Amino acid sequence: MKWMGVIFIVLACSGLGFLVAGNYRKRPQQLRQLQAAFQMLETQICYSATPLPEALLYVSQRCHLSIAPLFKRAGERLSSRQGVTAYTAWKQSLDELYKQTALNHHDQDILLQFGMNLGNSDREEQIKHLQLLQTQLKAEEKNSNEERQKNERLWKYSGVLVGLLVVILLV
Amino acid sequence: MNIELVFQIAGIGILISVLNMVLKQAGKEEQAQMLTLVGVVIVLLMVIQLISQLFNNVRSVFGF
Repeated sequence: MKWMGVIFIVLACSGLGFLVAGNYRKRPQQLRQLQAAFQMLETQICYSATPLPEALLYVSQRCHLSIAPLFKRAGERLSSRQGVTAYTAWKQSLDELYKQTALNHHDQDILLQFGMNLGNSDREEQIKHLQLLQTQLKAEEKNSNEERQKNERLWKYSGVLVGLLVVILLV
Repeated sequence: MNIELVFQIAGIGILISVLNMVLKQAGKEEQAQMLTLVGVVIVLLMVIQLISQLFNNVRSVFGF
């Protein structure tokens, strides 16, 4: 009975550590996928001149699964014709869904800032904003890679070790 | 005097030193120092009970 408790405590603590480490691992990946998705959106706006709701839905079908809901929700909200602007639709889908991704507040701010300019100017201006967003995302990706190298291993080890420490203190 | 306590303190020492190394590797020197301090305090709390026991024994031997 005692050993069952020991095993559970160690498992729970190391699981928590791995969960946090997983977030650090996923963030650079998702930032990369966001860049690819916005590149796709740029193509849709620039070359095929698709209307924004359809372009968002198009991107959501083709980008990676972890960030697809962001585009899908915004596209659906825009095409449902409830009288929302592109910014509100984008902001709402971001608020609802960014907790499910590995992105942090900083990324959310960048995406929101982009949303303010989404769909309220002509094509050339939109492309300028998209390029600004791409450079910002690239900088964030570099940043998050550094953070990952620092923190991922730390959280993995410290989860297991803290579990063992608790066990030793309690037994 | 039970041997378990000695092993417990040794285990805490090993774990804290490993955690300390991991923290230092990640560039968090301040947290590493804090952790060492916490480890020392925890072990001190364990040892202090034994020391007070020892003092009580000495007192009872000399009949104060």
